[in-house]
Amino acid sequence: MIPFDDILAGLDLLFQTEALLYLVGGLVAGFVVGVLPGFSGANAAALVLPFSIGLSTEVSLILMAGIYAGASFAGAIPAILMNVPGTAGAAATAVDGYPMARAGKAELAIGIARMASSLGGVLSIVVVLLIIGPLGDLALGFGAREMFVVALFGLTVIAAVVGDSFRKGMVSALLGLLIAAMSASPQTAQPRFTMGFLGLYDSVPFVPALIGLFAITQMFLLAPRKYLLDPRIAAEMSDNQGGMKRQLAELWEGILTTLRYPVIVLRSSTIGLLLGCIPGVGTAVANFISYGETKRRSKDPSRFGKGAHEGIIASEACDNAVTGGTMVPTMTLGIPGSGTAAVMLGALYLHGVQPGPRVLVTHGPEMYAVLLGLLVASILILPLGILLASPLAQIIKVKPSILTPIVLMLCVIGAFAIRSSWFDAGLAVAFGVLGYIMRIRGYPVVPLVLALILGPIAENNFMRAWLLSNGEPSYFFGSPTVLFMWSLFFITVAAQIYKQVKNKRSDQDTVLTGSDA
Amino acid sequence: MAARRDRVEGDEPTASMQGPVSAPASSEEEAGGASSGDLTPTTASATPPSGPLWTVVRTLNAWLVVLVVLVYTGAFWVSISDLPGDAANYPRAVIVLLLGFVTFGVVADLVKRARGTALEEVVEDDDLPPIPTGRFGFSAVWERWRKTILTGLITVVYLYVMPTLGYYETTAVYITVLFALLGLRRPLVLFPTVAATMVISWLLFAQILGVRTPSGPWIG
Repeated sequence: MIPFDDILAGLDLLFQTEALLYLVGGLVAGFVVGVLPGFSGANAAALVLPFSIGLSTEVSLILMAGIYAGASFAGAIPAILMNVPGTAGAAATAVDGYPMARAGKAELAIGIARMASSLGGVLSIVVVLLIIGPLGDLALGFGAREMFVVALFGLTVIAAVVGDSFRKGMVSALLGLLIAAMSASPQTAQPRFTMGFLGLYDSVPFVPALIGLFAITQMFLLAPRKYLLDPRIAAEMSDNQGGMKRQLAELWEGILTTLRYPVIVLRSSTIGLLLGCIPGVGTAVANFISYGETKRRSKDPSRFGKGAHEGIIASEACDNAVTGGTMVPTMTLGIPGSGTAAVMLGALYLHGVQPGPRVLVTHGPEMYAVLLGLLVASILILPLGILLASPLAQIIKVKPSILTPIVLMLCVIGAFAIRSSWFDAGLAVAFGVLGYIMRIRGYPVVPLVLALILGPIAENNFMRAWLLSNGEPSYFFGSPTVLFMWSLFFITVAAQIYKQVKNKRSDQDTVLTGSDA
Repeated sequence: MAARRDRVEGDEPTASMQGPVSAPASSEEEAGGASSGDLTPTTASATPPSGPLWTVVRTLNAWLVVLVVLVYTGAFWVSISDLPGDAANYPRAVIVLLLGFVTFGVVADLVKRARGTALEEVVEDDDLPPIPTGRFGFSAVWERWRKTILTGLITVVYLYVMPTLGYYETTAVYITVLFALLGLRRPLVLFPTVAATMVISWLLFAQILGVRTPSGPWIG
């Protein structure tokens, strides 16, 4: 059943001055962080999270939605102009975007990216609006064993797709599970390795952990750098901004060019939506799959990689469609679909809302307001993207020497301010150091973040299912739903092992040929 | 296998002179050589230090996450050793899995090293600080990591004194020191920036957002 009442109530919540202002503010902030290489929507969302405590639940989530949509699109700008993807998702955009820019068609490429992002976002959210209610009803029927396998599956997928090593992803995810277990045991209430900190008794406070792992870690990485961007590249970016008239012409041409490929827009958005629904798949993988599929079906695949319009459309439409897709597991199961979605769950915790299958029932209008916010944000990408093109080119000139101290200060105060807790502030810094050590050694932090959420879900549901099973392991395989999920889980694991073995072989080949040469 | 390792170690100086292409060991000096987020390509003019001490340092450096995991899981294991199974079995299972993946990585790393290829723990260059040109040894390592380490330490001190001295007092000192450390040194730029940051943060926290900042003996 599509809950039209909730959708209408959500519309009401969204079309308040405050909500719309924060949506636009978030979108602008998303543009800024999307353009900056190394920053992502998750960084910015984690930073504003503690300060959004004074806002209502839906407004703070709408703010995050704006950041999310803005960052998803804006990553394409540096990818096209200088082959440096501003976000992981934009890597596939660079494949054809950068050759177009080299050929003097940067404006058109950005125009196409803008339109494709907008369309992909709108299409995907419209579908999500229609299906999330029925899917939520389905999720309500999930028992402990189903939730346990879903959590397990989510973790495996995240470890598999984030970063380039499954092992490093798994180490990160398991470390997250262990940190999440530093709490009172859900069965016996005995504290486990809490070191006497009362703040750990419930479980690790999630928001300080987010601030540390996303924002503080990034600042430590930034501290020694002189520039955010190579100044030559930054100069090139500002040169690339024409006047308003040129911008409008480019907008129009971008729209027309994109509309000439309706099938590609539709297919790429569908791929993005479907893959976005799988927790953790993220845009980096989905975009390349969409790109590859479009290339494979093209009549003339040789044009790809040399500035084909279809390539940009395939990547960007998929990119923003993933954003909508990630909302499905986030809202129906309380399992975050991506880093930014994890921060959105953090916002729910902050406002005392327990994410999970019931959230669509208890907070339906708020959740639909967030989805509608994403829809409006996707539409606003077009006009705002043009208005902000020139200011954005200036912002990338900010030096880390100014940015780092201010952001670090905001992180410390933000972590403290949530509940006036020095423990939380210290925890954020500790997570910042941990995240830094992981990042400089090539371990992705996103699996750890998601494991902090999934850990308690996995443990509690496993224990409940174990009690229900009366010690009979077959209970864990006892329903069609759970069997289906187990098969998904084992397929993922098998695919990973296969991939690793294959990579090892090709590694060895290169080593051998390398030493021969 | 031992013979191959010897060959590799013998090749070390040549490798570092030629650049990073076939650099066998873990140190950043060799691993990053030409392209490390640095804007200008650099070529090493000195020979990187070798010897047992440096091998240990490089190994520890390459296995930093492994070390963190070992210490953390060890402490965790000991602290839950008295708990009943109901409470402790789940973390124990996670620890065993975690150690499994870590051991697998270490073994793979050792095998790779014995074969003379690069270490397992290679990282995207973008994330690492640029490498000082043509210098090696501890001073070069310090030069490279100085800003990050000091930023971390200053932040810890900031957090430590803020409860006593209050938000505005400590923050003014904190951002001044950090701005200066990270390269904003001209007083005519530095002090107005500090003043602007303080005013904006006061407006933002005290006036707009209503964030309760810790009060000190003088302000707040």
